[in-house]
Amino acid sequence: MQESSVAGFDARIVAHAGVPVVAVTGEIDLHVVPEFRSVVSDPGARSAAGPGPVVLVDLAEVTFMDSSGVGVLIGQHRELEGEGGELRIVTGEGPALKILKLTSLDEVFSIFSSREDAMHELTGGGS
Amino acid sequence: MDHLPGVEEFLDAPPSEVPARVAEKTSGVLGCSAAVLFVDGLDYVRFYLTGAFPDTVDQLPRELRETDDLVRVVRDQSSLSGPRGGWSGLSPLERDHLAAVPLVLRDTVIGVLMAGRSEPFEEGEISALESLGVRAGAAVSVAEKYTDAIDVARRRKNPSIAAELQSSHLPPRALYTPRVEVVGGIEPAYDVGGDWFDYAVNDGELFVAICDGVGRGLEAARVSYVTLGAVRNARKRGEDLSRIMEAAHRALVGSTTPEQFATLVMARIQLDTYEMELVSAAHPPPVLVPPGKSRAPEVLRLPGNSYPPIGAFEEERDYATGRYSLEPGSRLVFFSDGATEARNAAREQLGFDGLLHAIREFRNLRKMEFLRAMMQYVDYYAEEIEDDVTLVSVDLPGHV
Repeated sequence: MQESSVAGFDARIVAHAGVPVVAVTGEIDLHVVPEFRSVVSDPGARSAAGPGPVVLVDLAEVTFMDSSGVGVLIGQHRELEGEGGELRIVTGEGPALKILKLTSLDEVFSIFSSREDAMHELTGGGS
Repeated sequence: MDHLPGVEEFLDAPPSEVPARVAEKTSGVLGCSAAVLFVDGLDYVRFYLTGAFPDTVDQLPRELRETDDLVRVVRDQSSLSGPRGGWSGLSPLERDHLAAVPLVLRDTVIGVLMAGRSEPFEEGEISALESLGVRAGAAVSVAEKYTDAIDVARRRKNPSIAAELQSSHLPPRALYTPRVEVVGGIEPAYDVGGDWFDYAVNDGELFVAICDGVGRGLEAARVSYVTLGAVRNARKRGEDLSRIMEAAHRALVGSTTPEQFATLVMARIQLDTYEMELVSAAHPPPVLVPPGKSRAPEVLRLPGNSYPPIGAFEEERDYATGRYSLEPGSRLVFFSDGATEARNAAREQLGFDGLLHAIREFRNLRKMEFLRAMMQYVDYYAEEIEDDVTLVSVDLPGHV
């Protein structure tokens, strides 16, 4: 399922232990923002396990993200929060974590080091 | 030599004809041919001759080489004179003896005032010409508020709309005083356009800021200029940095969508005590270059004074500032992520390390020479400049 090239961007919804995960690879910049936004906001990306809708975005394989990519995350975070839900972001130790720290968004977003960590809490109250 | 014409005699002409009037008056006073030449007012990487009054140069704009004498006058802000045989590169005047002085708007060189005739120029005449260069710069800067002619003569092509907005909102690119030297610039000046920088010297202190509106082009420009308006407005109201940040945040929340946000870093430096206050909303912190060659430049850390981007979340925050005691002889380099995220052909980012390397490499250069070297470094590194690269360098001279 994973197709990867060094620079190429890819975002798709995959099922991880029965939970939808937005798996992103490559570079997120202004050129791919529309595609990134449409995958992240796809109803199929929402998990129903928590009290509100949860979207889990895995950015661990992202090699570059600029501020327009950050903008998509902010928009989605606010939308989910408005519905009593949550955006969860998996970064590993990759470049995405660096930019989220640099922009002090690590104190706003729920950030996890692995999918398992993010899922554990997610499925803990539900299935 | 007759009395030197004052600014009012240049401004006597209709605004679009002020440069030609300067040439005409100069010619009359020194008994010579004279020309007012403009260089590209936006480009920091290359030199272009973009305008000539009277129209004595063919095929403008023309790129100048670093070795051209016209470039020496502009880059080094120095006067030149001598026989035409020794003149290097393009000369608009075909006379035996030439003299060229910078056309200045205070500390920003906008062009060259040139004179030529069959006899050599005396020293007194060169300093008269220099005075005329200063007066002409003042007259031109007044005149250009009323006409497009001067702005058009100072650009080599038409910029994008966002870049047009950007160039009309920037402060002068250089300020040199005994207590502080500030130079700032943005590349690529004819395109992109979501960044701005600003500075002001008020009552013994320097205010300096860089903002980056998310996105590109007009989308980014809208975010940027709402922010700029809010910052200048709150600053002129006498607010402190925390309040200015709040005002900018509120203005953005009220006028843009959540995906439209800005990063903003602002500093206030007391020029007598070297105390600095700094606050950042998601913007990279400045690099501090301490005095003394043995001490390495470092990215200034922001403990507790760094916040998420403004305009992104509706909550109001208390933007506490950080305080730093700078030393005389220090330099601060503010930048936008366009500089650190510049990518080479192998898609590797310049990064903080690359930027620090360049700052170290050029630490002996000062004023505009330092800024140009930095801009050229990023320009050569990047395969293509895709985002605004904004740099502002602040020097606090060691002894006043």
